[in-house]
Amino acid sequence: MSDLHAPSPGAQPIQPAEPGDPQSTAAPGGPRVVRTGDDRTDGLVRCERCGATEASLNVATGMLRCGFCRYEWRTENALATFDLDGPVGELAGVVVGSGTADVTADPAVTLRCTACGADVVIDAAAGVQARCHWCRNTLSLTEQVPNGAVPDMVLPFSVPKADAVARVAAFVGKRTFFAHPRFRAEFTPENVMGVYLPYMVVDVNAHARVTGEGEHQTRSYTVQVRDSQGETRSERRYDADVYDVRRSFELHVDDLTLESSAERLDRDTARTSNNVINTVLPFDVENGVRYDPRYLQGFTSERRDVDVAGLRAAVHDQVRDIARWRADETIGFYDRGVRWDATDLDVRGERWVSAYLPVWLYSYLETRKDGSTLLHYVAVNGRTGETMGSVPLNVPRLALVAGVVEVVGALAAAVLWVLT
Amino acid sequence: MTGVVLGPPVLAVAGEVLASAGGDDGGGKAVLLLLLLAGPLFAGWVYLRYRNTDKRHHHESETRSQMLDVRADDSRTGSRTGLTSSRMKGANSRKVRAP
Repeated sequence: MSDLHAPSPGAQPIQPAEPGDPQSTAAPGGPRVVRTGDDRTDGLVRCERCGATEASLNVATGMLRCGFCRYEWRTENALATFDLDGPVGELAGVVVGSGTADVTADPAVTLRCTACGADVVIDAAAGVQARCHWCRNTLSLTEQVPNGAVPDMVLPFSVPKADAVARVAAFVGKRTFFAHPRFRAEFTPENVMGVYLPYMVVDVNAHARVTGEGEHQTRSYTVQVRDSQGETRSERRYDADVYDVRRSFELHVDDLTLESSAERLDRDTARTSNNVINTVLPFDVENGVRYDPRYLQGFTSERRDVDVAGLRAAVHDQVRDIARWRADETIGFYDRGVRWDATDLDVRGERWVSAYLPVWLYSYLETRKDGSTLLHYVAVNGRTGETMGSVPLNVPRLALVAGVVEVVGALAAAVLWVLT
Repeated sequence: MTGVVLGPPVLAVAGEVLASAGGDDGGGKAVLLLLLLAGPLFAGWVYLRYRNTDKRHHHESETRSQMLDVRADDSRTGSRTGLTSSRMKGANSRKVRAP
């Protein structure tokens, strides 16, 4: 049984917008919103030196490179620029980046090309850039309309594609014998795709109380017991003191990262292999830069479709797990173990930032005999290179080999039985 | 008289012999069980190695956190004797509940 006191407008102070701070607003009774989109408008985003509209990420340097003059520049660190990296212990109330706004708008956005005046429709569910079909300039979606397409920050890829291909090939290379024959025949690691997936990065300032019961061993000894056949054998017995165990502490959680798309949050392994994408967390989100659609050039991105309110319960559950995990550092005396019965959180402050984080994905759609499908992924963290995947199985081959192993095991068991 | 004097040490030695025999017997049974279940165990190991359905992000240990101003308030409530397991029944301090 856990009790949670989420910050409520009545009980928790909401930081007012600081006078003269144009980037921060607080609606009465609502969270303090830090505007991360500033005054940028959709349309042409130009090279700082030559004015061209085409630029993309140079993975080797982590900087944006102009497609024409090759000038390279870096955008500001997002958290530092928007003052979203202050001490967690000073957090009070709810602070959110404006990129976390509830998703309400249609993903289709019409942009007017400022070079020639043509209207171009971008489907934000599929991408955030489009080429003007008249003048061929690249138009970018940078304004934060509430359709989940423009986050507060982006963490650019730093693992190059060749590296990701090698990691995927090595991962699958160790799992070929029992792999599905069609998967093996069609395996082409070069088809790995760079995808920016939507996440929420959350800092939590909370007071945690965990209570339960612990046992400390006081004696260990051997006793003789007689079984139903009248035979005597010795068994080990233990005596222990029992304690009520309570721990309370301030808990500052930094950069807790959760998927913010409903599809990725589904981690039922019978239906999806999203758990392998979850496994390649965490990311060095503190190095995230201010969102710029040009970082997404050459990659794909998924739109966020889950809001802060939809993720808050999951965040608090994970903070409770962290609280129990940290409390474990203080229970060394209870050598027989502790059973935690309750974890209470008093959340004093939260800070939410939406982010695009980089993942290399190799995908394979398995069609089963009953017609159902399962999308298998091999995922490579676009920053750390951590790799995890799901490889479809050749079930008949596995059953055959497991049958042989079973026969050999049974024979060995029979021999052992006879010898003893 | 001699029997009375020698009784406890003999019983102690006998207990040790029985304990070691019992251990060997238990060990032998465990090996037999493993061999009889070799096929399903092998299939399960291959399944997890290929499909990795048991893998997840360990948010509880891989997320940066700070624990400050720790207060402990423990009180002894009693004792338990003759327990057969070396671990507390229902101990859950390393279990994670969130998905």
